[in-house]
Amino acid sequence: MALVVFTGCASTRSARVTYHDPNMDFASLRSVAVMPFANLTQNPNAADRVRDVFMTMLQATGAVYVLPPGEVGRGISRSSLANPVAPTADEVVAFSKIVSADAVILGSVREYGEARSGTTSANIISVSVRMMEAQTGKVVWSASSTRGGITTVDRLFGGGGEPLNAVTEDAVRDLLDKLFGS
Amino acid sequence: MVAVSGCATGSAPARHGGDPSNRPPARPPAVKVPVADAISPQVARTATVRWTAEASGGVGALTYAFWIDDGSEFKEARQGPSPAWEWRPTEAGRYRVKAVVTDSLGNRAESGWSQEYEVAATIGRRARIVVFPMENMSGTAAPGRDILEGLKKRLAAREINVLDDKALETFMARHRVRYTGGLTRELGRAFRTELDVEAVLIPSLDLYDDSVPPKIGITARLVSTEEETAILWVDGASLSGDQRPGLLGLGLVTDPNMLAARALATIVSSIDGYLSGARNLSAREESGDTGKDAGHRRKYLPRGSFRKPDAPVLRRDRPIKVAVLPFLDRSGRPYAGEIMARKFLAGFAGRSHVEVIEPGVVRQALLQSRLIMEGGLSFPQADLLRELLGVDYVVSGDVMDYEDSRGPGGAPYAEFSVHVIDANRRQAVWTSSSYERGDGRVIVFDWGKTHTAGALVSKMVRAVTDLFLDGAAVTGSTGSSEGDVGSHLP
Repeated sequence: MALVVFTGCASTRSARVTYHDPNMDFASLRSVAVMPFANLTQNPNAADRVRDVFMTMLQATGAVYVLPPGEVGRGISRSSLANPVAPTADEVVAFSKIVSADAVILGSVREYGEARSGTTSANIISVSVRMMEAQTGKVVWSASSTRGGITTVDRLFGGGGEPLNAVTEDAVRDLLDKLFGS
Repeated sequence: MVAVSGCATGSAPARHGGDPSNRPPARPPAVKVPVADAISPQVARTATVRWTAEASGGVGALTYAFWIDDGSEFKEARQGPSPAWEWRPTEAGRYRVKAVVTDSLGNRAESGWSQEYEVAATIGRRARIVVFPMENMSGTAAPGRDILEGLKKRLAAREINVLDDKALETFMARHRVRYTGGLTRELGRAFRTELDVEAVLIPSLDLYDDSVPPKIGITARLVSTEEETAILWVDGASLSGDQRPGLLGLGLVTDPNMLAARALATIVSSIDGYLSGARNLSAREESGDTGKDAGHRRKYLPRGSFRKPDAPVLRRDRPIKVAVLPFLDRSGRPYAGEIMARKFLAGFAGRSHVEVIEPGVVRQALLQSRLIMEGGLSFPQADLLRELLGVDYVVSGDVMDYEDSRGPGGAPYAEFSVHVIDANRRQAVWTSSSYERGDGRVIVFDWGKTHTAGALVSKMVRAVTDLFLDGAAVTGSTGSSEGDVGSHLP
């Protein structure tokens, strides 16, 4: 009974943190630009690392073409974006025209690194991502994912949890599942 | 019909339209044996030989096809309207060339085979070489001069013809040479014409740690002073004093000078092997670590990768040109970006159908163009590199971590991502992300451990380059095959 209740809670929680615009034809997306992620953590490299993993894994799906980071940098420079991690709708439209992208993906890294509880520690990552469509600048998809952290097993029996890279990949995989899922 | 020595004639001439009484009868096409503009022998990867075929007769425009015989097979190397073919031999051997012309009506004529044209594997042990000052990329104070002197002594002991220091210093002062991490075409030309130097040895110190156990990493490459500044040889040695402790620690090396001597011995032996023709262009970097190469490539595969299905495209008529840019360094380790670029240079060097552009030439092009890469290479910048250097693919990336361990125990860690842009089609054709720890593949008792970041990265890079080049499409002389940028929809 407890398992059924918890499973139901998990899927409901997943649905609550994911948004798909019902009017958006995601199949029409051919190329996307992934902007620099916002870093809300203490680790100065967190945003770059997570963005790098996200770009590689998104490209590896073969579903869309991901613009190389240099092209994104060029677009940011040409469109004089004041805050590339949080552009306005108009800025997204202008930027997308310059780099010929169908959509722009933005992200924020909220947690990245070690979480401690008493004598136990484990790596944790929390990322939220949203996609803005190029023609209107509207948000057509958003999702978040939190992975890692200290489990009950860790508390009882110790252990350092998964390596940070593995946790990051897990979180990104979760986000991509939410992007391509229904 | 008269047969002329060296010529071959084709089939019956075609009739012209119009008033036949005003037109001379068409002659069948004929072509002479192609002639090279450079005498044989030439050294592989250093020379461009221009073959020219002289044709006559025929109707309308002629199409020229150049065929090459390497002793085991003959194949068409180039076809087009030009009577000239610029051939860049990459493999040693004895070759013959012939030309086939076809006129607009389909009449065909074939020349005889040329005389054997020899391509040597190496510049030879008698070639004069210059040894550049050691570039210190270790990020620490290191006895670079002493290590360089050790290198020169070992080269001299092998009777390799090295230019003396005084002549080099005078030359460098005269030409105001400040950057010794690479060779430009102008500097190569000056070395060749003023000092009769055939190649420049460019060593760099990637790692130096004199704590116990000591660690050292040296890479070096030999660059031709010919116009193309081809990379003739590249190799390296990344050693740690505790990588082969042996029974009871009897093999443990605690003296950094001894370790440096071993590294230099490895490199000099490799250069000697190349100059003697006994060794390939790009030898595997000596790391002293256990394991077989093929096994390593499987183990050190990138964690995630994407390759555009029809990339890369290799060409039959010439090797594809690859430029490797310094990686964006996010690790905080000094020179990590440059070291990664050198590792990828070594990873691509020596591959058939691939030519890596000398980093000194790339650097000069970037500086002269005032190229500033915000977060990486953009498509217009790739266009510029294609215009300036004839580049087909540009390799760049980010280094997230490049960390050697200090002291006994511990393991190095490396994390990087790679992007390859096809400069001809303006597309990203490869993305990958790799990370490994030096002890991530340990089986038991440190068996399988990689002790230095340099050796670890070399294995990871080799896996990436193998994966990238595996299954590459090969096309004829007309260029890259068609591709669709938006071919990624589910």
